[in-house]
Amino acid sequence: MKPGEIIVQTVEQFRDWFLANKHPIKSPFTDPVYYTDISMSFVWYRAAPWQVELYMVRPNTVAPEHAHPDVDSLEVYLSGTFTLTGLDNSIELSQYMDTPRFDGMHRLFGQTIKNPPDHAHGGVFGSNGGVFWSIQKWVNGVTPTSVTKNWHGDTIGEHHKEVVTPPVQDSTA
Amino acid sequence: MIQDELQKFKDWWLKTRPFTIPSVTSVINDGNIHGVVLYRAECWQVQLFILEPFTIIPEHLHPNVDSYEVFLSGDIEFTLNGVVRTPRNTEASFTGSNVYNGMDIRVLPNAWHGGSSSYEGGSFLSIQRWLNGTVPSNVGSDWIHKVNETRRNYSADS
Repeated sequence: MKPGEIIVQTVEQFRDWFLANKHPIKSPFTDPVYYTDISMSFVWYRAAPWQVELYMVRPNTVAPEHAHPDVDSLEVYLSGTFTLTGLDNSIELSQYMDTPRFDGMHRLFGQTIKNPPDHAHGGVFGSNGGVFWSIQKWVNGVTPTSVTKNWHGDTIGEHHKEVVTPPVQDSTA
Repeated sequence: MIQDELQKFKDWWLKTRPFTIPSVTSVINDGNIHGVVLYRAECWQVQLFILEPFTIIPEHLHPNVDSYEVFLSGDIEFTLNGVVRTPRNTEASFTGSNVYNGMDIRVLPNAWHGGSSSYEGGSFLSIQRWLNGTVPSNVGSDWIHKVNETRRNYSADS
């Protein structure tokens, strides 16, 4: 560690480090990919308790309200047409989705939303679907897997149900 | 060794990783494959692809695209001209990632290539130079099938 270097303690500090270091790719050997009926995710970076997942969500879908009990996260808007719900200060974002930024990118690119552990939130995804980073600090001593797995709320399809609640193994078998 | 322009672009992008995600048509959902355009400028493009578990991509070619496919994670097996180039493995590197993380394959416009994933699924980058004046879009739209094949991808159990 360099003299004067800040020890990363918060998810905001981790986000700043991740972006300043050109979003390094450090995908794990095991369980790098998770999916539901509406989304696909890829673990972009994992170094417990820190993790970044890239989420791609299908167009014209809805993620029901849910919470991640063991994850403090920041969702970073990359592209698409979507709005996260359940926020205390929800802002009408559709006005920023009609036209691109001066450089052709999405006008909401880089915008960040905070989701503390147990904070209920959801998402409404429009005709272009959605792409975002979930930048995470895993808490309560839980080993990082995916926020698709660390999930309280209605699940999205049968596969997701199995991911959230793995089938009980028959110990007598 | 003299690097060609695509090789220079690949090395530059992997070193600097700039994003210029288009505001529309950046997300691709094509059967078991999901992708996002991370960078697009003139004829140069980078797409990130994620494969669902047990996905098969039959051999095909892209007549207007010269590319490097860069393996990131999972248990994907790439083939090039009928030869397996990144076999599945069961070993992590000292970094915690797959030992093939960062390995690339050059796929010329006339090269038949394909792939498959096993139970982990997987991900890779496609670093592309679009040729013949073709405007970059999803590489899946610039696609020639082998004879008697019409699918771009499908589940292994289908």
